[in-house]
Amino acid sequence: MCKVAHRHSFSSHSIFCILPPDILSNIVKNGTPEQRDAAMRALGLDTSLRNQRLTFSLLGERSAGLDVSGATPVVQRTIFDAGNLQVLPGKAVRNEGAPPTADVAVNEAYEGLGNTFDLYLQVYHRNSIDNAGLPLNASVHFDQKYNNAFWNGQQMVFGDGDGVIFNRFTIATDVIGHELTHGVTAAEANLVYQGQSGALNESISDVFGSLVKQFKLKQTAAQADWLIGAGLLAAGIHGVALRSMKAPGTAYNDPVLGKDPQPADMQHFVNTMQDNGGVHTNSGIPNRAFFLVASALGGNAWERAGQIWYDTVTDHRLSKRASFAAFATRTSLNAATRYGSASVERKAVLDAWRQVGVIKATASAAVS
Amino acid sequence: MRIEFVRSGGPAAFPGMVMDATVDFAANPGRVSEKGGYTRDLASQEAQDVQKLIDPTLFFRINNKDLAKKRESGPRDLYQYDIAVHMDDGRTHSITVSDMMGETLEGISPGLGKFLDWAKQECQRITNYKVGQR
Repeated sequence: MCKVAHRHSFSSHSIFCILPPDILSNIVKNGTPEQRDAAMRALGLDTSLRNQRLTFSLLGERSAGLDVSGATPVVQRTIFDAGNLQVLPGKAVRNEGAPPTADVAVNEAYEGLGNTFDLYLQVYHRNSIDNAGLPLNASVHFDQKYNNAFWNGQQMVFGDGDGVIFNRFTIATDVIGHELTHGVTAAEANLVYQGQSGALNESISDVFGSLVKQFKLKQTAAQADWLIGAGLLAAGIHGVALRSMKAPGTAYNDPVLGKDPQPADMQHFVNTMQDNGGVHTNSGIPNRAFFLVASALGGNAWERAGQIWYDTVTDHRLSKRASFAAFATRTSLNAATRYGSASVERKAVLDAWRQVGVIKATASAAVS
Repeated sequence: MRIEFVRSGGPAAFPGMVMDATVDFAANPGRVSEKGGYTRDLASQEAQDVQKLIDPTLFFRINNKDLAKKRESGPRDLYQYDIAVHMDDGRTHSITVSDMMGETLEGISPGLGKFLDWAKQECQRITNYKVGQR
């Protein structure tokens, strides 16, 4: 073990050879990458998948994806039951590879986490939320009749819904993809959750949430419903979903919920202080832009349209306070980089942003 | 003292589910009213308990920019609560928090996190009222 550490230029760290395992474990958790490497080798961790998982558990989620094996990334899910308390994570009820349980929420959460992991890995070669193999944990039955689901930076949390407005939040796999994508955005562009950058943050979650569902169902852009949260609204509510990317403003019209206020273009942009400056409202504009790009290109939306959006979310030149216009410019540049400045992909991007009024018609022609 | 709280946001930010409520302690012993028509008279003990949850001295010292930083680093898709306290002498102060910031508030001003919990329960009552009015 010590020899291995020395081979990797850690001769000055020969102290690893004499440290007890618990201290080495702490170094694995908290040390620099070099220190972790040496400590892991000192612990005698081999490169088998089984021990990679053990290593992940030692590392915790922050650096869980340290690839000690070079093996193909694999999803590592654990579903917990919070028992209708506000204490996380609760009791582990389904681990990776375990068969389905009798609890539908547990199984839906397990599947939704897997569907999201699959899209990001298989299409965009992203290894989990942090692109470093973060294990995906989720707690179901959080609190009593809790009307929400969210990613808290470490795990997913699902409420049961009150049965009056919402059904259980695990019911819609695109909502699970939406929430996990907030983790991806936080790890990449980290768009500020306020105003236009906040609406972009929301829209990116809708885009990849919808793509998670389309990828699972193997639907083309023409076959997809482009709804977010279909099935989540309780019986009796007049609506089909939380949002429509294809036709923003048409998802619901209900005496209790009101009418879907999402604008489809910049002419109807909503200025408000509520909801972090209307992040769930104005996201309708970039949502529709993505739908238009995907529809213009045809085929599977996760391929070219999704790739351009993914390139943009992971583009470090994208400001965390990006406006719609700045994001549109980045998508155009990324389409040009990947497919060519005269490509149909770039033209589709420019046309879409022009149609929703983010890029002026004249500016669009000039950029073209 | 009068307390206003507005709940917005959440997973869909339904416009009809924005709760714009006032807790007025001038109406003895206290009354909650919401712009959609909901009203509830507080029992004497509850009115006293709710009023005690707000320490005006501490509340008026809360820096909303500090809370904004906490909110920004927290989970997305949460409900936003705008809480304003209006004193009888005309002073007013307001803060904006998310529904998962109870512990933060409790650390800043003991009782304030419990007030948030109370406001959340009141929002569920208002939801039930709105659904019942359908």
